[in-house]
Amino acid sequence: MGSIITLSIVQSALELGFIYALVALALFISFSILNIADLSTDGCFTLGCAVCASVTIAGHPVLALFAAMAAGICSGFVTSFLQTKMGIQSILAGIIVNTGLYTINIAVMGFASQLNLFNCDSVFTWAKSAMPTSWYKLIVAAVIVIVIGILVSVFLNTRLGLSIRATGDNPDMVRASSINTSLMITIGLCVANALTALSGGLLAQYQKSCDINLGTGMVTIALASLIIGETLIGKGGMLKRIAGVILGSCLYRFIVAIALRMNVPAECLKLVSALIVAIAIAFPYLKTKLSFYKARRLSREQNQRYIKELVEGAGHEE
Amino acid sequence: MKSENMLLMKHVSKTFHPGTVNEKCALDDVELVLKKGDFATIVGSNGAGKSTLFNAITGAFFVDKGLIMLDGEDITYRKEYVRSKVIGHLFQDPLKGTAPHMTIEENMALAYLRASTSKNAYFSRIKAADKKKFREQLALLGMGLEDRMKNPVGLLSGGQRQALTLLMATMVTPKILLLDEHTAALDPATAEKVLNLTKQIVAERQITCLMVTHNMHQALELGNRTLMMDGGRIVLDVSGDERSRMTVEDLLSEFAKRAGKELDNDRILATVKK
Repeated sequence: MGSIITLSIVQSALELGFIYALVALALFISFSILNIADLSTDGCFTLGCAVCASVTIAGHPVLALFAAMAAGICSGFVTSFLQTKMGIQSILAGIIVNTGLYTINIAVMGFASQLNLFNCDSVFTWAKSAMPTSWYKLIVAAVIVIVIGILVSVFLNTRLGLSIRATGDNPDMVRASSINTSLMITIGLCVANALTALSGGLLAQYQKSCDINLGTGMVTIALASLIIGETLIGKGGMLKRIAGVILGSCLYRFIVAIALRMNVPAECLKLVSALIVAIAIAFPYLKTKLSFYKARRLSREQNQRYIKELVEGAGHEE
Repeated sequence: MKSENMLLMKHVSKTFHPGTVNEKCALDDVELVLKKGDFATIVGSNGAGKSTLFNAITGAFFVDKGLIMLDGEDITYRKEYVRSKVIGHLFQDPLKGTAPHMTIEENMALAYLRASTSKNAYFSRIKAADKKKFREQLALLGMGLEDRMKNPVGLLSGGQRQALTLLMATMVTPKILLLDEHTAALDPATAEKVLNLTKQIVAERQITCLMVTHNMHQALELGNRTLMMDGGRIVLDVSGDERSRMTVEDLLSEFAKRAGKELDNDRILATVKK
């Protein structure tokens, strides 16, 4: 095992795990809480990345992260506007926005498919000069994600947060209790997409580059993290579930790191992600199925004995 | 423009799927006036338009024609979530009124949200004083729910959920309470408990109330008025002495006379034989 997992692998898996945890957290809000499959996630992630990269190049690394979030909010607003005011189904709305975002992302990047931030200041380069340790990237990512996680937890326990949760849980009830469902969906998606874009922005500064195809498959990866987290942590309060999502994201990165370490070619990573998601989602179902088969086998053996007794009993009576 | 009347419906019509083979005139020129404190029961055949009448009042859809006024205000084209601030609505399905994955406390906090008019209440969390209040109200149900405030509502039984929904719908006294066979899906003992609770709350706070029932005895015993619906119209409206003299048989024969046919609701007829 020691040869497979080295300290540097643990370190980079945790760094990426924390950064991508924000997307998983976004899906936690849109998918788990609001019960909406937001397929604009891929495009929104790249949008955050592109906006952040552009503003970072202009010399404002912190502003860049906020700009990324603002861009995410805009994207989320458009998705929710299509759903709530234009009568477009939520999945379609996400796909439409995702498609449109490709052009916008290219435009944000100055009609280039790649941006490099190698000579720019970023929150990570600042941290590097301020901290005498090689763990500075992890510290920055972890602090940001933990603060955001706590904020999201607090938010979801305010009355507004409760209203958003109820909107995903029972729309009938929500309408009958004077809550504006359209507004709740809009707020929820704006918050979720802000997190997705922030994640993209952090990644741009982390890997010092931005690529137009960066977000492809992001929704699957985030879903995998989310489901791994929810399967492991289970039910509970908001803070516990959010911690689970972050844990799931880190675990997913470990799995990917191990796969890479076992010489899985980098081109196959998307396939590996898809497999992990499929297994993670199917796991709880297969578990109940398996326990049913086990119980059925035992019960059948028992029933065979009952039938035998019945047949013998009938024989005696005659 | 305050008046004696809590609810006023004038020439209200609604047709579903117009211009198709499924066209159905669900409300046909409905006229209804409820005075403040009126408690009217509604009976009617299947598809008579009872639930549609409720949905027209709550704003689940906008009516095609007609005026709906609540407490002197024209609410005909007011959005559903705005109206529901002052309308309590209980459905037959006990699962419809509460959010299953949220705790009892959180559900009650949502209902209580109606009480607050200030915007910044949205960012406040549930206060200890609120929790105490919720606890006291839950204790009144006598179901032991006050000790399970942190449990998700999905773990409660149908009766418990319906009782909780009733509590939530009346936490802030509504201008009108709409009960759509809210005890029909419960077992007899629980149904009686929820019904008694309903009677108690409605009487104590003199809430104007409309209640759909399929029990003919209930239709005559509860409240002060009885309405019968058929084919999207209110075909019978009795109150006062006339109502107190009426028997279930009178009610049925009167219905046959007005609607031009026998009542065809099996569940109603099942209660007549008692």
